[in-house]
Amino acid sequence: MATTALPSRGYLEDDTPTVWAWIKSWLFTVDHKRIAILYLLAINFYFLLGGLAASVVRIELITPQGDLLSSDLYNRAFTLHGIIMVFFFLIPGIPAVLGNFLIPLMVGARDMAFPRLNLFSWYLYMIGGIFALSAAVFGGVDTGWTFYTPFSSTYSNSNVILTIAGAFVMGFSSIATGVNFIVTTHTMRAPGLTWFRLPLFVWSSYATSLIIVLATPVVGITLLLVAIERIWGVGIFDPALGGDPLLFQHLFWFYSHPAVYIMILPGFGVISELISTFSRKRIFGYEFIAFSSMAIAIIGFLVWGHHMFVSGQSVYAGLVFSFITMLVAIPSAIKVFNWTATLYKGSISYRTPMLYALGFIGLFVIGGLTGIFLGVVAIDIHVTDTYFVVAHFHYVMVGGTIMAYLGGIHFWWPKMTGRMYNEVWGGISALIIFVGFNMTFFPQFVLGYLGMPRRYHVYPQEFQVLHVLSSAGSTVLAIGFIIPLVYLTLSLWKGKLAGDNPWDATGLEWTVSSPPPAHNFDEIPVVTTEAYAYPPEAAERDAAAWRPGSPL
Amino acid sequence: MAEHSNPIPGADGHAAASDHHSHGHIGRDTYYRVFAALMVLMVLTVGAWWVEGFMEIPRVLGVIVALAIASTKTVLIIYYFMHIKISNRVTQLYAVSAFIAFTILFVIVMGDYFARGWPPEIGPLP
Amino acid sequence: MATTTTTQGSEVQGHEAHADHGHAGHGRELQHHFETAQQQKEAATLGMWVFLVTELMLFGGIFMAYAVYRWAFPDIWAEAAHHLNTPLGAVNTVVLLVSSLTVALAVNAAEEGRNKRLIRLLGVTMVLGVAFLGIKAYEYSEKFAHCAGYKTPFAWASGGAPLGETECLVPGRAFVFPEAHGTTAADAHNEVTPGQGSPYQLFYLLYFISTGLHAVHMLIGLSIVGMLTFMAARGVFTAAYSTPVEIGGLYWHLIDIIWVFLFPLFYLVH
Repeated sequence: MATTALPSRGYLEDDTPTVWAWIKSWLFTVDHKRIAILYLLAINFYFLLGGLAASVVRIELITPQGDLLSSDLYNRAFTLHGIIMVFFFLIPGIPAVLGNFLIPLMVGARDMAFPRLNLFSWYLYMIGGIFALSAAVFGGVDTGWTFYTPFSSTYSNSNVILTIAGAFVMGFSSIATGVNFIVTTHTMRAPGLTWFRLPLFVWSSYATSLIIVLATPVVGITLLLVAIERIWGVGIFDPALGGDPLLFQHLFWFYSHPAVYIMILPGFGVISELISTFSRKRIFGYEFIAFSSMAIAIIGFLVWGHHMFVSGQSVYAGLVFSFITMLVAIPSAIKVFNWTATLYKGSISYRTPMLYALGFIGLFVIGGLTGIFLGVVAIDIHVTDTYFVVAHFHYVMVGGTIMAYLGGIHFWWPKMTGRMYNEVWGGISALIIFVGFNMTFFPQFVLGYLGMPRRYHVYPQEFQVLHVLSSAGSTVLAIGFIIPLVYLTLSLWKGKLAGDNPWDATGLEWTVSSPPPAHNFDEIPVVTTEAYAYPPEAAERDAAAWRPGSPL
Repeated sequence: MAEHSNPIPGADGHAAASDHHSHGHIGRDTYYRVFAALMVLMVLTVGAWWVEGFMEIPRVLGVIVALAIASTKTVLIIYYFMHIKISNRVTQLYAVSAFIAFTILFVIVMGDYFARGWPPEIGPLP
Repeated sequence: MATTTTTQGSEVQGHEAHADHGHAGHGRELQHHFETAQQQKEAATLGMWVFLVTELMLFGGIFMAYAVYRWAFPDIWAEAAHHLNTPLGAVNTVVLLVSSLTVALAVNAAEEGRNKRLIRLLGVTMVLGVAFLGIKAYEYSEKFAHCAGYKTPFAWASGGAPLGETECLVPGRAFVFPEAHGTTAADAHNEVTPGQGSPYQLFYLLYFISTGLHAVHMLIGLSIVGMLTFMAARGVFTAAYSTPVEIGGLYWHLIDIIWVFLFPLFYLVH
């Protein structure tokens, strides 16, 4: 291919004459890297907003009485927290930010297969976000993020329709992202980049996209039906009008359980990258990790009924769902064991991303194992709708997805911005988040087991100690989230230049300059090696080269 | 575009998918024949409905016949009109995946409803 | 939708991209981030198919609700379906099947680079699509006319013959299913009243939602075909480049497939 050697320019650079032209160059960009930055800003905004709502909830729960919020306001606060966090942070988080930025780079392509669709998905996200925000501004929603009927369709007098519209539009944004990932992975790989040479992040993003494409439309139509029922007072899920509320739960969880894997699978991909890089070893059991992602994506479609054990579904269905739920543990455990096996005899350096990765493994194991408890019908009936469930899914979602998200952001920050962040503050904040997280959510396991129901803002005196502990932990956690915000922002001006490959990592994204040029590769690379091609003795050499004073 | 002809060992990047494509071609007479088949099926399905109007046939059978005919039509359209016959394997898989996903949804949800009966029974069926 | 537009020409981003890379050998329709026209076509086709999967699952949710309620209320379903206009439904099915043929032939014409034939076939397709929507609109207006108390939409417009019995099959507070003649087909376990609280309404609710959603897709499909006709008239398509026609055609066939299922499920129920 005739490629003229033009000086490559970083994607962040501009020669726009006016501020307006500069803004336009961002808002109408079709560059996947710039779209990722747009997503990064928007998603972090929603994360902080959801965190704010969580803080309100935690402050209210310091005392057993409802002294800060009325019960109605409390419902709206936790619903806001749930909807913002689930639909606008956890689901799009890693795919839209890291996936958009990295997948074309990792597969050796100049852009996504459909760059304009990619930009369109960001606008859909923003529109959905505006709907959800305006619902909050005009009085909020009190249904919980699950929109259970007939409460949401008939009885609730809050802004259900606006919120549903937000979730609906956001769903199409993630569908657009999913379509793009699938097609990019299939058709845009560089010559020589076979499936088994792909980085594991691409595998897990592919599995995620599969779930997005197959499941999201179902929740879309379900929410649309709820809205129709609400507007015209016709009863498709209303038992008074011949409908069946359980049908809503089936359709809703057909998406929303796989959605849990939409949140965690990209996190698995990030962790695989981090563990391998900071152990200086090729990943242990590459194929197993790759196929376990696919297995999770597929089995994830068969287990949704474990959210409905006490909803009145048939006992036989409960039995089957309970059994299949156990199966999900197998591919998840395969991943964890392979990561620990990768660590074995590796030259482990405790840089910030690695701290997050190790934290992820610990927290995810706790979250995953308590998931098995909950998959057993008998235990689930005992702890349904208690803080045990709350603690479980926060361990998986926050301890899993957010740790992976932050780890990934730190790992690829030098690539995205060309600057290194402050390593000392990075390590400190990772530790603070780990401690704060456990302090917040571990007491909730105990609370739930003792019988504290979720979604209540008044509770018996005896639970106060644990609730205060949890609220104190959430303060620590909040501090841990704010510190990275500060030093990462400062690094944009103060950070030292990163260079193309600050971590000595493998992968095509580290072969281009930092930040990458506008069209990634002047010449499409030809790949001849596997993904984590560290030589067998890399870890030993790395360990031998360590001197006091070099980074851990 | 010279680099695609490089015989790289183990290479099956985006060049690979192109290999087995666009060889196939569906001629116009095939389209006409498929259309004729669709019309026949159309007459069949309405005819079956008309027959069921005055004959005592189990209701389930009527549903099965109607759905079988609709599925046949769908397969004809997807296979010939939508070129799945000459598409690459990945596209074929995606064409099937929607039906697999819907089957999962259908089997599990209907399984739950069958187990409970209508109106729903609480607890195990006798 | 957006997947169909991503492949049409590279006007929007072409100017800077081509300057950056000097892909002098590319045709004007090849976007900068693709290596070959073949790759671009594969991507567009696969992208459309993945999008069609999401469309099928969107309707899948409705079909699921339909299956549950039909299983729960088989007698009511049979009775309710008799108030739909089956002959018109059958005519509509034929119209859509013919349009599917014309689209398939249009794709064929585009591949062979026969532009005149392509434009003609796309035109016929649009006429058929509009005919479908017209018939559908008539069916809808019939139901609304009954609610207003007239026999036909024309009578409603001109203040003609009133409807003998009370009947309103449009879901909502005014829903009234006409008293069954002779025996009521009520399920043994269910107290069935003809008003809004009856499962009859569920049938018509699902009918209006699914055919309505289908009609929305039809409108989208019509605008796609219209755009393709416009592009064909401007001579965009050649034997070497006809991908937009192909993936636009895929979308049209999808609309057809959905209807192929909707027709027996709503009009042919006993």
